[in-house]
Parts: sequence; structure tokens; C-alpha cells
Amino acid sequence: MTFTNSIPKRAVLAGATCLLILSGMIVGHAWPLWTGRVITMKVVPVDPRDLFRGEYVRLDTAASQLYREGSKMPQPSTGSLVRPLDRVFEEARRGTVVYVQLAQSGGGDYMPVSASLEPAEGAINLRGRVRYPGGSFMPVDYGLDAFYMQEGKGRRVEEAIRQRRNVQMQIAVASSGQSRIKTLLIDGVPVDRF
Amino acid sequence: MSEQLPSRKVSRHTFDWLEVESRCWVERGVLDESARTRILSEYDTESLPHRGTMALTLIAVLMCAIGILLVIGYNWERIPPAVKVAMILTSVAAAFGGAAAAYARKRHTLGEVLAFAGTLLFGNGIWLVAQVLHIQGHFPDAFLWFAVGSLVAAFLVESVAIGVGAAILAGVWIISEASFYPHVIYPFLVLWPCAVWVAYRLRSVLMIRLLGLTASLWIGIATANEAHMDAWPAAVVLAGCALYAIGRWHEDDSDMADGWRVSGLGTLLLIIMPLMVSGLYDDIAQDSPISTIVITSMTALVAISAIARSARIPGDWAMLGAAFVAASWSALVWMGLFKPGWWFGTASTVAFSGVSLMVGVAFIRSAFRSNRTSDLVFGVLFGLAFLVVRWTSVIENLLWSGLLLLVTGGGLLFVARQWLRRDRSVLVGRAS
Repeated sequence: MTFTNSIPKRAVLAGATCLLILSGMIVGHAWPLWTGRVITMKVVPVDPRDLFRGEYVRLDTAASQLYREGSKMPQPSTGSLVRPLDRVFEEARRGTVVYVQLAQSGGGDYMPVSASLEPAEGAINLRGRVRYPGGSFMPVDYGLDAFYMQEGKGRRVEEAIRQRRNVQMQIAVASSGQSRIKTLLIDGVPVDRF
Repeated sequence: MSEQLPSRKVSRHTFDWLEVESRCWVERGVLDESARTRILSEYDTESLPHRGTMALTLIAVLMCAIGILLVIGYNWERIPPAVKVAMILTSVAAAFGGAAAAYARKRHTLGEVLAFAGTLLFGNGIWLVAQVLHIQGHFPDAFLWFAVGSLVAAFLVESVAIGVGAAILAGVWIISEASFYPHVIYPFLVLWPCAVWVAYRLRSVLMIRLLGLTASLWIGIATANEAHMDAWPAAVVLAGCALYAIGRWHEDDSDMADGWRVSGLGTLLLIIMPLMVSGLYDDIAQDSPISTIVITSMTALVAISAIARSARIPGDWAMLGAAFVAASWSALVWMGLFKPGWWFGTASTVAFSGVSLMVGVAFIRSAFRSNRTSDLVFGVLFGLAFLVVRWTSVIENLLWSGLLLLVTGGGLLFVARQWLRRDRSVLVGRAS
């Protein structure tokens, strides 16, 4: 190799490469948190555990499963009827990037109203990937499906859910549609103070 | 003209044995003292790290890294996310900084251990970032980036231990990708050649073996049918033959050739057992996507490329034969000449059972010519695979069952006896 034959320099370079990858991950994923618009969405959580990352609450939102407006499919509690702005339901394949437009409901939470293959002008667009296409039905992954918390807290959150308390997710949505979870709110109180 | 040869590295145990034995040879008059000194100077143990201590240190580092991971996994809320991120970045920097300092002081073992710890902390960091930013996402990507970082570190600090770790991570990445759905994992086409290049630079046979198996896994997943959820079996057979063929492109006695050969034979052994069961063929998809056809054809080309080299042992011919059977089987299915049904299942079962038997017999014969124990082991394993699967088809008939087991036992005893006789004759030849 010509760049350096010195092993100490190479060790520093190895460390720098690892730090570069980590920094890239941090910047890439934290960008919506730094620049995005903060909104809240209602969520339905369940609480599994992750081998590598500890305790977390898996979250389903009204945008997790999209149904074409006017379709006759039975709609579960976590899904929403949306108006297609283009041929999104016809052209979506596994992994296709889709944009879901959100609008504020009467209760203050944001709900999906339409979906498209391109972001809609002037709307809050949530960017996601289709898990698998199903004609008039489309489960979408936004990277908003897990909230990590200190070990032991998951049970308290589960208890709150069982008592049917109001659980919301505060998310930051960047102009690109990328979104990240800021915090989880139980009856309006952030979960770290819960 | 006498040329100063580089000293050969042997384990301390072997060197100690040689030292004691050679003293006895001098006392018996077989060797004089100067010859003994010359022989001993041919070998070197000083630069070798003490393997036991090295293994213990690596286990300790591994346990510490897992401990850190679990502490992070506890996710103590009193530590702000920014501090958690700073902690992990600092620990990665400190580990690699320490490694650089150790290398600068010529303490290579300590440097390698610290670099190894640095890559483990880097992997922890990936999971921590995911936790801090609440990312569930596509978790196999974490293994991919972990493997990429480890591979770069292995290349830069020339560490076989980190390189082997990177090869294992590449395998874990492919398996975790497959847990979603079978598909062509394109980044592997970049990662794998880079990893093989690093393995050659480090001269690591274990890395080659692991990377060979990972390539077979990739081919299996890339050619699997989503609806049927089964791998395109012929592609995996061809993968085994292709890995063996790559081994044949090397010098016969080279370690790297052995690495490729073992991964190829291992792959074939793993896939051949289900292929000898006719039930598998009921669910084989006839309409393969273009990606399956391309990958299978490319793999077949590599497998059959070995024909350009003259076969030295019967096993070489057997692997070529296996490649031809698998390639012909694929072609017949794609041309629509093989349709699901009794004939398809029976013909396929007979063909691949024949392959197993042929490879088994060929490698047992090869072992006597090549003197490689691995050839004998694989020959026996292929033979046993054939017999065990065929035995299960007659297990309800005690007479046939008993006869088959008697024949198997007798065959194994015959092979063992022949091997022992060959061993003795080799020893006698050496002594004379």
C-alpha cells in the first residue's frame, strides 16, 4: 500500500473509519429531529424487548396501514382510509417509497388523508416504504415503530395502555418527509417524566 | 550457494518438543550438535503471540464489550442521549488510539486486542445510536455497517481475528436479510470481493472458508422463490462446485486452495441431503425470475471453469460431474421439460442421490492419492449422507434397514483398514 505502511497510523485510520460510519448514522438519522416540524400522532403500542437495544414499545399509528378511499376492505383500528393522489396503490411494490399527507384532526392529532408516489406541495408529507402491496391495502414502514426506554418502564407504559389512557407520539417531520420520534406522551406527559 | 531461508513459525509446544527430541538424537549419535543448532535456528517461536493468553484476552475483551452493550441496553434515562453518544464515540476513539500507541511501542498483541475491542465498541455504537434515536428500521443494515467497519479495520491493522469477525458478521447480515424475505442482496456484490481481497492479504484460510459459505448462503437467498420460500437447489449445488473450482485455480498444496475446497464441499454436503428427498420437488417453482437464471448461470460457468485445469484426483471429476448434473437439471426445468409430478420428483431424487454417492466414493479414493485427511472426511460424510437418507426411505422394513446398516458399517471398516495400511506404508517409506 502506498498511503502508509505505519501500523500505528493505520490503527488511527481504522478508528477514524468506524467513527465516520457512526457519525454518518447519527447525522443521517437525527437530521429530522434538528430541522423537522413537530407534530403528534395517536399510537397503539405493544411492548416487546430487543436483544441488542433493551426494552422498547412497538408502536402502530393510523398511518401504519393505508386503505384506498372507497375500498370495501374491513378497516382495522390502526389503519386509515386515504385518497390516492396518483397511481400509488397500483404502482407500489415492496420497498417502494411513498408519501402520506397528514392533516390535523379535531383532537389536535395528525391523521393521514392522502397518499402519493411524490411529495405533495404545501402539505406535511410523511415518507415511508411499502412493506408489501395488497391492491387497495398497503402497510407502510416509516421507521417510527419503536420507542426505546429504560428497563422496567415498559411495564408501566403497558399498564397505562391497558387503562386506556391517551398515548401519543411526538414526531419531527423534515421537509424531505423523513421523520423521527421525539418522545412518547401519556396523557400529554412525556414518558421520561412519567 | 547457501541462501538464508526465512525462519518458519511453529507453536511453542512443537518447538519445545523439537528441542527435547533433537537433544536425544545428538546423544544417540543420529545428529551432531552443529546440525541440531542449524535445525533449531530454522524455526521461530519468539514472534508468535502466546496463543492461550491471546485467546483469554480476546474472550475478556468480548465479555467486556457485551457487558457495555447490556449496560447501554438498560438505557439509563438519567444519561442524556448526547452524553450516551459521546460516551460510545469516545470509547471507540480511545480503543483505536490505544491500539495505535501499542503498535507504536511494538506491542503488536496488545495493539491487536485493543483494535479488536475498538471494532466491538463500534458495533455497540451502531445499536446505541439506533436506541438513542428510536430507530427500529431495517435492522440487518446494522450488521452490514458493522461488517464494513470491521473489514476496514482488519485490513488496516492486518488482524486476522478482526477479519474473521468481519466474515462472520457478513454471514449474520445475509441471514438477517433473509429473515425479511428472499431477494437479491446487491451490496453483497461489493462487500464480498473486498472481504476476499482482505482475506488474501491476511492469508486467512478461516476467512476464506467463512466467506465461501456466506457466498453460498447469498446465492441460496438470491435465487429463492418468495412464494415458495425455498432456495433454488441447483444454484446452491453449483455454488458448492464453483467454490471448489476456485480452489482448483490455486496451487494444489496452498492453504487458500484448501479454504475454497472445504467451503465448496461443505456447501454441497449441506444442500445434498434435502435434495435426495423427493418431497422437496413438489414445491419447486417452474417460473424462475431472470435474476435466478442469471445468478445460476454465472455460478455454473465458474463451477465448470475447472474443466480447464487437468483433474488430479477423482474428486475433481466428481465435482465437475455434480456441476453438470445441477446445470442440466436447471436447464431442463427452465425449458419446461421437467414438470412437477412423480417423474420429476423421482428423476431428481435419483440424480442428486447419484451425485452424493459419486462424490463420496470419489473423495474416499482421492484421499488415498492426495493424502489429505479432509478428502477422506468429506468422502465418508457424503457416503453417510447418501446412506442415511436412503435408509430413512426403507426404515419401516427391518430386513432392508438391517442389511443397509450392515453394508454401511462394513464399508466404513474397510475404508478405515485401508487408511491405516496406507498410513503404515507411508511411515515405512519415510523411514527407509
